[in-house]
Amino acid sequence: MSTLIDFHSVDKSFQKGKQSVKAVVDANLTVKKGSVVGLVGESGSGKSTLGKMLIGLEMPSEGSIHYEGAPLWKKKKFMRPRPGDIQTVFQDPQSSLDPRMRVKEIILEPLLALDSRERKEKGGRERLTSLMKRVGLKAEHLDRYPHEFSGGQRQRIAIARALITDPSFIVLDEPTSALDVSVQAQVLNLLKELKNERNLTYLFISHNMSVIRYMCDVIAVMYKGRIVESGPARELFESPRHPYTKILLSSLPSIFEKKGPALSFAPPPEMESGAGACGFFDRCPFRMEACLKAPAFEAITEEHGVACHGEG
Amino acid sequence: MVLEMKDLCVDFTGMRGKVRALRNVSLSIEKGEVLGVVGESGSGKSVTALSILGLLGSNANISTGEISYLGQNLLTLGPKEMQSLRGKKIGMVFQEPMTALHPTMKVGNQLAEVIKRHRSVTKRQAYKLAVEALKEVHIHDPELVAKKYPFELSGGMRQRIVIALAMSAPPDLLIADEPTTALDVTIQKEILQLIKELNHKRGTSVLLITHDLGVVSNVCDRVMVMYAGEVVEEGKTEEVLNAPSHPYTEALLHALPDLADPGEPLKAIPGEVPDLQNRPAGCAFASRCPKAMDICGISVPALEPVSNNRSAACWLRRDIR
Repeated sequence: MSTLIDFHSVDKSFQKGKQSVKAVVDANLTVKKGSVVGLVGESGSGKSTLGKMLIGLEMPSEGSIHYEGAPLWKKKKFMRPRPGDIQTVFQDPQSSLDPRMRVKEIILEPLLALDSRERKEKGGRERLTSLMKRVGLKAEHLDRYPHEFSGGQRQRIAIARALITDPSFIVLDEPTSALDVSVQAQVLNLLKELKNERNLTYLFISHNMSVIRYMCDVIAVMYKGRIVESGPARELFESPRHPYTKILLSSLPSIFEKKGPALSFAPPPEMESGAGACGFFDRCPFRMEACLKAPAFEAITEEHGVACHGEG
Repeated sequence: MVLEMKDLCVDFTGMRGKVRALRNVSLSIEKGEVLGVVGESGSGKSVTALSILGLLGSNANISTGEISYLGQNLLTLGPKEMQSLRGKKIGMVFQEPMTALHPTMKVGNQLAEVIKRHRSVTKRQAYKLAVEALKEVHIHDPELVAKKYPFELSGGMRQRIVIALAMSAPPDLLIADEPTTALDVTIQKEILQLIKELNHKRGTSVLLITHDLGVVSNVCDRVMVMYAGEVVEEGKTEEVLNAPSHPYTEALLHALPDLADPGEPLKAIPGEVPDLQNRPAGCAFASRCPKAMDICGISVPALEPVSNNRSAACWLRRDIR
């Protein structure tokens, strides 16, 4: 599989007055064509920020992002590849669909970025109805407003809107977190089928480990803006290396939980850890002296890497 | 028996007419027991909690049924008596801790205010008790945290404080409505452990409302599954999750991605929850049920015992018996 996206030591800091917050620090990640890469981490860990840099909503402060070999950001400008090639589906279908637009207008809106020839070609009535059917909606739904639909149906509308331009890559930012379990299963199935049918590539952002395990080929775990571990999904779930990944996996309140040793965060240490320490130092149950100096991200195997002294 | 609810029916009057949100809901909680109520949005789990607390809005009406708390009928109590019960005898924890706390009042003062209301203590003693209450919900450095405002604290910390508030009286029954839904998984685990611990240590009964079957399996002794305003199954958590009696419970378990093979599609439940306004005749789940029979579309099955400690509302079970 060839590389579609390449993050190279990407930093993102947000500034407010003299304060500066680092949302993403030194992120390195490659997304292969046709794969599903999952980003997990707690709220504020920077996973959504990473996604937003791909769709042009946030600009990286440092580092570079390449999409199909070409830089995505140049001189503070988002260098859009073919319009509509990168699409996105957000978490909350309630707020991501304009309440005053009809479903038809919502789905066709991304086509405004295309030239008129392509717009005509892709916005044809036939294509629109077949797309509606494909995502599990009916043609007569086209003239309705978002409020007439349930949460699951709204998310299907958002998916149709993303697909109308024939994208090759979609950022899915918590696409099922607002949905009920039974509806979540429907939407996950749909996303998986669409991926296989259209050879799509996904960046799948979620805090739900079981959803991530089911959907993704590669997983990157983020903590406080850093990617602390990344690797093939199966390997990461079977032999997690970073203490944070281990805690994440053990805190999953799964009904089918294997009763392994429970692992929890450690209480904060007595002494101040200092600015140079590992970001996880204050909560790590395995911290040691070496951790006062932040570990570098190192590869264990070709695909699996971790940033932890304990694994050095 | 701490709490007993019998055949409760709740109607809401809206612009489009009357909607029955709860249909013959019965439940009971023993002392020291944790009862989980699971269901999808709109299944009536929160309405159940609100009707116990007497917090249903003015557009709601309890048409039949009774709720008794330690033998006392809650539905005959006036608003004043109800108010003295809430917080003191029945504690509450809601989903979003930020909205449950007073934004411009320091945490310690908020707690002290509640403690002073429920116990006969001086202001200073109340504050001291507040700091102790913070310690009991495992907050490091409670003296410092007591001097902070809610916005200065993380979501997990805030939820700990809400729990400390709810437990300060201390109540015999704690109602927790999706207490961990707004939190990260790692924090969720800590909060659930805390609820479990308080339940063990003080013998407080807990009514835990959640949509997450994983949470139920971790914390609850018994579980009650709701669908479209009705209880469809009820029993011991382990038994219900290992061998569900109702097709809906079974379907819900299979729809979880927890154990699914990534190569196989998830077993989604087809269709959607019925509109309660146009509730179908017969079993509400019939249109989505893989095992539906003719009778399911005609007549509503009642919740009846199918074995020891287990009830289900399903025609299928009735035949087997």
